[in-house]
Amino acid sequence: MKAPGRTLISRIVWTTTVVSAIAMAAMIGTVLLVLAALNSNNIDARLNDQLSAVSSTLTAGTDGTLTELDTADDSIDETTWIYGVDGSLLEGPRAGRAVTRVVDELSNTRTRQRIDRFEHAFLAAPVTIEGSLQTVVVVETSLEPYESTRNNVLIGLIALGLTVTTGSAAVAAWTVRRTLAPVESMATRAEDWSEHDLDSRFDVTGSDDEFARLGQTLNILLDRVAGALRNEQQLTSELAHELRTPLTAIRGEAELTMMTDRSPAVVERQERVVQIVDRMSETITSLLAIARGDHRVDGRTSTIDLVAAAVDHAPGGATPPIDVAGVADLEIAAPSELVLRVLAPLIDNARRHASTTVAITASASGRSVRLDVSDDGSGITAAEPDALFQSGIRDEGSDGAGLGLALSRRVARTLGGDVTITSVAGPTTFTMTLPQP
Amino acid sequence: MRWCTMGGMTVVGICEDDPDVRRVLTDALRMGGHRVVIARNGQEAVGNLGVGSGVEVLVLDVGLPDADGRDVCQALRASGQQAPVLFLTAFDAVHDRVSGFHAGGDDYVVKPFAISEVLVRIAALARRARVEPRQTSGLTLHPDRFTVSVDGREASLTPTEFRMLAAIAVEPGTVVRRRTVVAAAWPDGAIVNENTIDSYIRRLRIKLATIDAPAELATVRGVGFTLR
Repeated sequence: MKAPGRTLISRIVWTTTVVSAIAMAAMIGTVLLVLAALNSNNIDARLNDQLSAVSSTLTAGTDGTLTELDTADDSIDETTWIYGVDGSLLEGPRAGRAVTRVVDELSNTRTRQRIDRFEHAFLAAPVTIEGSLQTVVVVETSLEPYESTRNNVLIGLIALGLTVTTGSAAVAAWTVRRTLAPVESMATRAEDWSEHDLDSRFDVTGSDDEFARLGQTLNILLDRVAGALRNEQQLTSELAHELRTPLTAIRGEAELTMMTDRSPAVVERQERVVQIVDRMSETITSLLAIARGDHRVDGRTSTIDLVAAAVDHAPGGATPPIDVAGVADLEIAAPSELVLRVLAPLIDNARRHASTTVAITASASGRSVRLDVSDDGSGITAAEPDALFQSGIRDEGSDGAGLGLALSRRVARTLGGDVTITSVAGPTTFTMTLPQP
Repeated sequence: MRWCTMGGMTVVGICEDDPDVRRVLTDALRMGGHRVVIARNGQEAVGNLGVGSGVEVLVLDVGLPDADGRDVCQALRASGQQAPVLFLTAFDAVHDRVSGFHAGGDDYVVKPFAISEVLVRIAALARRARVEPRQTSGLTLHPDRFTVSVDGREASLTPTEFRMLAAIAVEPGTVVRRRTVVAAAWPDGAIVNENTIDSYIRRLRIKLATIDAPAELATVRGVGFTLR
């Protein structure tokens, strides 16, 4: 009934999750941009400081050669290259081929130049020593510590984002579920009341909050449902009353006839009239009970007895014949007079349309009893066969009133079962399922 | 099918609006040698089947066009009619059957009934019929328009007031218990507040006073009500 993602709770949770995820992604992106800018500034500062430091240690010798003063920090020497004006390396550490190639590229620079290659940052600048000696100094620093810091921050931010997003979803689910719990409870109760208890209502006294207003609305709807059902039951009761009175007269006339004329032929005919009236009366009683919702559901019906009674009651005499060989002896958890109201229209319908024979089979199907009523007629021509279960709808060429199948299904559903069309032709089969005890 | 005998002629009052059913009942009873007094609706029943009609058994249809057969029964009882009542009803629900007894009925059959069964039940009721004379309240109840009258002076009642008064007026001088009044005036199983009953009784007293009723509607504290 409730598809995942279709409930209000799931929609709110999903929305919260998506919004939270987007917010966290934006936050992570911003932090990374800021961090990249800070790192870049730090690297620039470090390289400039190193370049200045190196430059301050360079002096021109008396012979015009470059002399570098010793420094306490040997690490500077490991990351500094000094080139002469002719581009020759005056001093510099041994480095890998890739780094050497980059440094060589920078040795001819005439301007301050900064490039990042192979996880290293390089700064090259021409330096004039003591006003005359021209040289190019290249300094380098590794980017690895900065990138490591950035990666650690990124991992932390992703972990934080996932935690915040998951937590937001959980908090949203808990809050919404807790907030809407009364609504769900009210919906469940209203649904139950509309089916089983038309007199119960929500107590909305002493409160004017949203739930009280919802309760008032549901009470109004329940009133309308109850009113509609009572009108329907009242109408059905009145119809039953109007039918029973003429039946009384018919039965009485038959009895009076038998009182005054005891000839066997008359008695036989009048007794048949009395039987038909009694059967109609039973039908009316059953329908009245269904309309009132107080029919007995604790009865038991044998399929053998049921089919025998249905065949016996079927109009049309012995034509076409009804094959009941496939009827297994099973029990149905419903009173026989009501089950007969389900089966009789199916047999009547099959006999109307059969060419040569009607077959009835009964079998157990799970916790239900299944009765198939088949005929070898031309089949159902309606585009939507299920529509034949609507009152007044009949198949093309049918001479019925279009009420029997509708009544059959309605009574079957009232008893916890159903009537369906399981084969539209060759043979045409209507299947009745009702619960077993 | 055998004839049912009542052990002599009985005068049977029939109130049935359907002409076919009425004719079947009338013919069956007359064929058995009994006299039949007919009423076609509630108003005729109060006029034709009252104390002076000589009716020994009453057969009342519940679904009359102008009144509920149970109200007709109460009105006849209030007027002093003691003849046993057999209800004919198309309603077979438990509350329908129970309400018929609360209204003063003695038996019921559900339509469509077997004539032979009705004849047997009428015979049984005739044998148990009470014949001793009783005091009457002097009130006339009209179930077709829910009124009470005394010598042409008439007061309107609500259906509930009508049924309460009819239940109390059945046996003037006898205390009728509260639960009996409730059973006669409200649907089966209804829970009625004591104050509600007392409120109805006060209104009934006022209405009886407006028509100078010969009997006083009195409350017997803790028990019920009586007309004296």
